[in-house]
Amino acid sequence: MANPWGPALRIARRTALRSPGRTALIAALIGLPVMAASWLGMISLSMSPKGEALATEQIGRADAQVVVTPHRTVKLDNQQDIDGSYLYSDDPAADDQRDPNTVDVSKLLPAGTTIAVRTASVTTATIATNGSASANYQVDVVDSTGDLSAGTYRLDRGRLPRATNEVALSPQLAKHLGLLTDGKLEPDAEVSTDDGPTYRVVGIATTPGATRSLSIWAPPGSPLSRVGADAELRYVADLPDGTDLQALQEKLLAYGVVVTPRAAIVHPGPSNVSYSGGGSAAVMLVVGFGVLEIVLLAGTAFAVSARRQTRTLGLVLAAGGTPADVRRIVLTQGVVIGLAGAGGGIAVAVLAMVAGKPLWELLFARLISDIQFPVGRLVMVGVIGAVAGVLAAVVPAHSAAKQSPMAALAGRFASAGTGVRLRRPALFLVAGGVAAVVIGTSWMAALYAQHQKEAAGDPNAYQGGITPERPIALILLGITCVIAGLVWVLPNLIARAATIGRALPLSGRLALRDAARHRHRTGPAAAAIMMSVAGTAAMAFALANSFAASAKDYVPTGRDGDAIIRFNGDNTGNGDTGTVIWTAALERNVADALPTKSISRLGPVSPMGAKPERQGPQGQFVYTEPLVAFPVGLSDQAGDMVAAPLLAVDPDFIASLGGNGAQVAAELRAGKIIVETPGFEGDHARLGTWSDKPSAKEKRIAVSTLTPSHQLAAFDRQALVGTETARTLGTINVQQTHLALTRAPTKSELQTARNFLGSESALKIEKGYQSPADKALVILLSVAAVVTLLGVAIAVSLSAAEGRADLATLAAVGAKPRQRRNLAAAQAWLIGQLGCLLGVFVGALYGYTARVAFGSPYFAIPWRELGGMVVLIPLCAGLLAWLLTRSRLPMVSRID
Amino acid sequence: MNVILDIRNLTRQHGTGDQAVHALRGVDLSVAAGELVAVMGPSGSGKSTLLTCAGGLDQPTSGEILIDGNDLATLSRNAVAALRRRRIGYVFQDFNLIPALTAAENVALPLELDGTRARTARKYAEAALLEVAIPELANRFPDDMSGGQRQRVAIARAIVGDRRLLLADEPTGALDSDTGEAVLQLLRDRCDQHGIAGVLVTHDARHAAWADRVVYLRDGVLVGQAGPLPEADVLLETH
Amino acid sequence: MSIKHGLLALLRTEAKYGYQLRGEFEAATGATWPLNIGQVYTTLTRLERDGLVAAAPGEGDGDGRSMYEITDAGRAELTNWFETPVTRESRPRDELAIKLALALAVPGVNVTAVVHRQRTSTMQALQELTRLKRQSADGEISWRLVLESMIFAAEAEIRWLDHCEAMLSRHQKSQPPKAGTPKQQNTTPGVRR
Repeated sequence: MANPWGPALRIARRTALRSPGRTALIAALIGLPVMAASWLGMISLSMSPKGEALATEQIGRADAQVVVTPHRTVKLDNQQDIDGSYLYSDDPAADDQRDPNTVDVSKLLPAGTTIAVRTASVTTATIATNGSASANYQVDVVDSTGDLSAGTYRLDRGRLPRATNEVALSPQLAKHLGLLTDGKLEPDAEVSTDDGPTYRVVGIATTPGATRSLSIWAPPGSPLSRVGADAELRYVADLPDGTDLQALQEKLLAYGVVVTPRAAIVHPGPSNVSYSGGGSAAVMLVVGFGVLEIVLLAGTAFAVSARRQTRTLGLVLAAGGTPADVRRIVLTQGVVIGLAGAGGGIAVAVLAMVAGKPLWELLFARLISDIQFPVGRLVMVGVIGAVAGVLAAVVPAHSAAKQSPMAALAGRFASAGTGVRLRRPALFLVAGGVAAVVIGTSWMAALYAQHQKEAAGDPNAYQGGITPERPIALILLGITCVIAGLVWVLPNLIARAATIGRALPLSGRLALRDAARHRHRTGPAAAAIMMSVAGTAAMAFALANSFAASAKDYVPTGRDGDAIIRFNGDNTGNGDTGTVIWTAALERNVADALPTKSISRLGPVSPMGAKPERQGPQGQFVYTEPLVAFPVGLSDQAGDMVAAPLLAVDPDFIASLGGNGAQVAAELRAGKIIVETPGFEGDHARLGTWSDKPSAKEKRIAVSTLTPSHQLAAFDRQALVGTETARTLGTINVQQTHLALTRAPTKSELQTARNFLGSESALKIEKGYQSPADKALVILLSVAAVVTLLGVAIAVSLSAAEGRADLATLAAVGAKPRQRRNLAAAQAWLIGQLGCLLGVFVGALYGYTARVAFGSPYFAIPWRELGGMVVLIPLCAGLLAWLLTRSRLPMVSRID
Repeated sequence: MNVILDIRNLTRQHGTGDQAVHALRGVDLSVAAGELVAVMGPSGSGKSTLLTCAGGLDQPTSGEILIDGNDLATLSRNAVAALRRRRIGYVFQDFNLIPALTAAENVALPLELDGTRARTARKYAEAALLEVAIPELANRFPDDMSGGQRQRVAIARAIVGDRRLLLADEPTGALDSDTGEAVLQLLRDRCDQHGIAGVLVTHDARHAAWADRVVYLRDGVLVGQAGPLPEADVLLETH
Repeated sequence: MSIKHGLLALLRTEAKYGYQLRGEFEAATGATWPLNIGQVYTTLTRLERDGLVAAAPGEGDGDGRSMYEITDAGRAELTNWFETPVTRESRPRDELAIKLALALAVPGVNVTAVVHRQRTSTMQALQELTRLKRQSADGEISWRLVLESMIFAAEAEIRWLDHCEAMLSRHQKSQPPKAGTPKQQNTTPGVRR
């Protein structure tokens, strides 16, 4: 028995070649996502190197990494960090701090070991930038003598520093400091630190893992290479052959030194990064969505393709083919084009990856040492693409096979009208899906209300959102059923809608009837638009609620409109700690530079006679032991958990915050303190320091039961005390200065102020919660618009190709060119509108889930964005169709 | 007399109630091996419907259609399709050929659908093309052929292999008279020499005259039959 | 039509005997128009009387029959005949058309059946002619021309009969049927065609 797919394959291949435009369209629809997915797969692998590549980046050519910890002894956690080094823990009870700078590691390692220093990320240097401002930058210590470190850096220009007064810079930092012009290093380039020494810049070097970082390369022995006493010191070591790494590792643990052999980096143990189930579920959801979208868009084109072949398929039936043969012919085309598209997509992705390597390195700020080709993953992506191609052809194949031979031969297809019924199962699916969503949502709402009640009672509870699995599963199931049902019923829905055409003007009526007659293609096109708009609407809900939740959680730094200066020790900023030392003169300069109305200060209180000490690798920070309020009657450990350092604050400032500020101010003036640490109980506290706990004999201070209704970031876990009271207890060290402004400052005023401060992040103007909403939503809307317009463009161009005979007849009857365009525009608007309305409906089903998942204080409905989608997108679709339709039609034969 | 096609009391009705259109009403027709029957009638008389029912492409409302003694109504759809692949050949007025296939592939289509290996099917196809005197067109595509050549290829497909029944629906409609005559000559020879039964629907009396019998349809009813002629030598004597 | 122009045509090239003319005429027109030798001589005499042919000089054959040759007047007449198309009026009356008209005028006659019967008969004739044509595919072209003329005529008649059938059917549908008579009867006199 011969291969029944033989004729089908032949017909499929030839037919695909005979209409290259449509074939290319379908192949592109499948190929582009495949290309994107393949490229993403390859890029993500290249971005996180493994094995030898990782080892080279981390430890160059050495055999092992040796880390001198700031503890006398440590034990291994048997887990590895992302960069391969072993994680360890120390004994919290033992008082075993030691300065790693003082350890001579070469004595601990076997004879014949070569070592080179390699430090990263634990030290910073304050470099003077242009003018008088300065900032902290990361220092990478590299020992360029010998070649152990080769691979951990890439030398771009000049050489690595050797002498202690030499440094090299990263390209980005050199550019930032104005020392790199046209790719060439300025001769006699120099940088100097805050407190004096000048270093000669002798070269430019890049970190493989972060090509855009602002960092300094210093040799070992340079003052910049000192690490803090509580930091690690890393070495790379070339151990003599035959060293027993296991024994060495165990031996050195007793000295507080951790050895990570190269083999452990190349072949790491089981990862401690656990996959959050939610993450992979989300990925699968997105992938499923994407595949369905491709299937619908390609399915539209396929439907037209199958239509054009109606008479050929009729001939096959007349020649004795069975409906199965007809199905085979259409499906084979799906397979062929799907494979071609997927294969092409993968090929293009590989090509782009290889040929565009410099571009990717630039874009992702990372050097790619060798390009990885995850063959397994690529094959899987290709298979999914091919399967999508086949799926796109399934419905057209079945419709074609269902035709009677007579109708097929005559090229006749059922027009709209009373004969078409909305299929019951599809309607049930939609209704059932909506019901499931409603049930799931109410269930979830009940759970959320309960969660909120519990959280309100327990101050330590997490006040965020919840994601209860079962209701979410039910809702997702419901949404899936709704989508499936709608996709199923859309063609017939369009056919039914044609009956209202009677009420419309000519263009509308024609558009509606034509859409109904060609529902094999307008249906899938509308479905594709529905899917993309649904996804966008769902994302709009998610973003709106997420931002609402963030806004709720936002704690301002100061009063609205104020300028806040962060001084030494303040860590309420973006992860960095303020380093500017407060002086009255500095504060006055800055206040004068801005339109200041009044000045208020906040800061910790130190006991009388406490001495400030310098901290940090270069001694950038000044630290004076603060006074701490301890609860009465709790054990040491428990007491430490809820103790709060004092924060001196002007009662007038508190009063100006509004709310119950006046009462709080009154309490402060009365000499009480306000403890912001949850769990602090009692109406009295004892004062002491972290290192010198109060004894039972110490004086008590009264604690107020009030808390300010308007919180500031600085208040978190502090004990507020009025400035007068604070002065009786000790000295106030100013940590923040709040300047009330008369108006918003100009750019030049801000720059002057920043120049005075010499730090780029010390000054902030409080503007309330800066929601990234607008930008994100515009991006979202554009993506939806693009996919929608893609669907519309496909539908329009296919309808133009398919409907040539009809339009030729129209032209022959004397319709003006404008009328033909109006017809195309009306039809595009119709499909777009239908898709948008249904899409918003489907997306809104997810809406309440977003509210609960993000823990938003209220149900945020993005009216503006939804309205925009529903109104603008169909209009754009109509406009696009109007533009794309040619007024002039070439004379066209009415057959095929 | 070996009756290949036997149609008994065939009725075909489209639609129901007062919207019903009767394409055929109680038509009887039988065609024996070697016989060529022409069906004439004005448009709408049901000639094409008669042919499509005979070929199994359309289902009658009532009546029987027997091909080689098998009642089509008792056969499954797949069995009817098998008949079309092996026993019945169909020629249309135009658009007979699949544009994506060459002439030989078009002719071989029923065999290939039936499971014959491509190479064997091709041999049969080439033989059929030889019989219709266009063996050189085997690898040409329909777009590159004239109307007459296309019809010949269609006939080749209708006779390829071992077919017993040939149904032709206005095969000369789109051709000029000379080419039409050539096509009819082909059909006639096929019936005479290979013993197939042929049914030819036409509106052209000249072409119908090539048949052994000419039946007339009007409004779905058979209203007359011309022929069969007596033997040739008998004719001369009466003159 | 008379056969005089046919004889003139045959005499155009050379003089011939009467029986020769008969033979050649039949050969040229096939067995469709058998001629009586008496008819030939009568026509020849008339032609001689009209001055279109003349007795050829020279001895007759042994039986006393003489040859005939065409005269200049005869040549002129022949040329004129060839150059003048056959017009409608010069054709004989159409017996069939008359028959149908009478059938319509006379009550009690099933006109449609008349049409069908005639059509069947003409079709049968057409079938015969077609068979003849097939058999004489290699024959004389003059014979085949005549054959084709008859085929075309038969075809035209069938087409006209089809047309009549349609007209009658339309006419009958627009007439109210008389009580008690079947639909096919057309009993209205003076029907205009």
